[in-house]
Amino acid sequence: MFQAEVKLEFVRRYCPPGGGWHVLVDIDPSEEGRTGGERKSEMAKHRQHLMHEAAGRACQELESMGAEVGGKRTRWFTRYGLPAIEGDRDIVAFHKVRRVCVIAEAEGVSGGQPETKLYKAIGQIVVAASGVCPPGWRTTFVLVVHGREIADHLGRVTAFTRLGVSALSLSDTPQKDRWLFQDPLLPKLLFGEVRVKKAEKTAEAKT
Amino acid sequence: MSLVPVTDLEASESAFRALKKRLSDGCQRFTRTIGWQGGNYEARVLWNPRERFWFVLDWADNGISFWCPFGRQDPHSKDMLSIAVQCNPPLKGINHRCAGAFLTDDSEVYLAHSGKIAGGRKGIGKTAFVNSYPHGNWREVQWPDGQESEMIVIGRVDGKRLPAHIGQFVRQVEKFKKAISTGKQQKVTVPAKSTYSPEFGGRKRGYRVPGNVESDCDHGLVVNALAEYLKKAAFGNVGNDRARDLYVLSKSGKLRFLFEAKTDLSTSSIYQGVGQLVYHSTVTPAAKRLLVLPGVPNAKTRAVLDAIGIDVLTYRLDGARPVFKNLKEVLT
Repeated sequence: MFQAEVKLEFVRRYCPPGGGWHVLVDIDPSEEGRTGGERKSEMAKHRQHLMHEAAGRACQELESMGAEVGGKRTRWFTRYGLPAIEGDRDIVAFHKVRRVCVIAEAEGVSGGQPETKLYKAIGQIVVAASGVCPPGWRTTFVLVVHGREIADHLGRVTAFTRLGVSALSLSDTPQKDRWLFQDPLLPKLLFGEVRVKKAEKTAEAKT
Repeated sequence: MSLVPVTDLEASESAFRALKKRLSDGCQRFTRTIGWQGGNYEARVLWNPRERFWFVLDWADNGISFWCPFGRQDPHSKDMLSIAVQCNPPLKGINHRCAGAFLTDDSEVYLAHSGKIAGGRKGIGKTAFVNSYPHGNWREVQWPDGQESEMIVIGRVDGKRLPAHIGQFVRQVEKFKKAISTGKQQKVTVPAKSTYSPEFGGRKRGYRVPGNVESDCDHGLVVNALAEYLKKAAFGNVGNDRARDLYVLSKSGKLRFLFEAKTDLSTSSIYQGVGQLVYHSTVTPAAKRLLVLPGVPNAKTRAVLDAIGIDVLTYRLDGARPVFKNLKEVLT
């Protein structure tokens, strides 16, 4: 799965707009193979073509599900009465009823070294997790990856849960998805088995 | 952005002339015999007294490539010089047998090496060198014949710091060969005991931000200068390994300082540096994590780094010499 497809599958499986989620997805030009100059080798041209197609398909499907792809972020937060989240996060999802906010960074197959891409994603999620969480919402941070190598590398840092960061290894089928480490409540929060209590909302709001 | 080889004769010769002009500046001339396994050749040798390496830049007799041997023996005291490494780009076309190449990103031309090191001794070869040198400025190269490979970008052929970049590369090769011949070549992945392998430039393999090809060649200069300072100041056991730019262990073997150096202030580089520091200090807790940057990041970034417990060490390049601005302050 390319990065755009990882985003699509994460949204489809864990925070679908049809399930009450408001979802904003950022797909940048590099994911569409639109950066990096002209590809010279056949292999690179083919990969670029596949990336371009995959990104186009992912955008279309995300939009048809009801997710917002790109666009003016500030306007989107205002339109749905949601607290603004700083930075160009890959995925921002809010569930108004459950009062849950998911901030995710995704990595998929790319031409670069998986470790390098992973470090950047870790940096992004750590910076996001260090920011101010919207009061009254249970905010959770997820690193979503696809590919055995990158998942194995990420699986070594279970201590990230201390930072409130969870990691999901996305598979070709939802049944084979694997949480590498996680906020223990995360799956329940995602699937609505646990809701943020009013008291918690008030307490968070005070902070 | 991937680099492509220069395959046109005129463009190759132009790159070679630029390389020669840049490298010859301030060098001393000698006529010396250059020896290698099975032969020798009397040649006009240039000696760079600052970086302490000799070189020859000529056309090879085979009519296929340029001849660019480099070595470290001082010709003032040696009549016969032995080659540490050759970086011979082909005159034209594609020749995967040549270890050297001129690469271009459509605007600049760089001297690059495939990592294919010859030495006539068992254990010296490309694979061993590549494994010993993960911090090289490895870049993806797209060949017109459809192949893709990775090469070490040494420096821009007309870049101001090219002599320093080449000097470090030659020292790296020499160190590698010495380690093989003395049986000291080893991989270190955990900091039970610190080891430090100098870098000539570049970072770990992977994507680079377009436009940073040359600045990435400075990475080794920065890390090596920092390592030298830390060793002299006796801060502890200084080391590096495949994953980490630089670390310092206390006498009891605990990780005191963990460094990650970047050669630009782009958001992408900062995110990557943060990710590396956080990841590696999670695997092995470090007392202090330092992001080494070529300037002060903006206030917002500084605040974020402060919040996640990452200190910033800034530097500037004075010629090819990195000058660290707040070193004492951040190490206290």
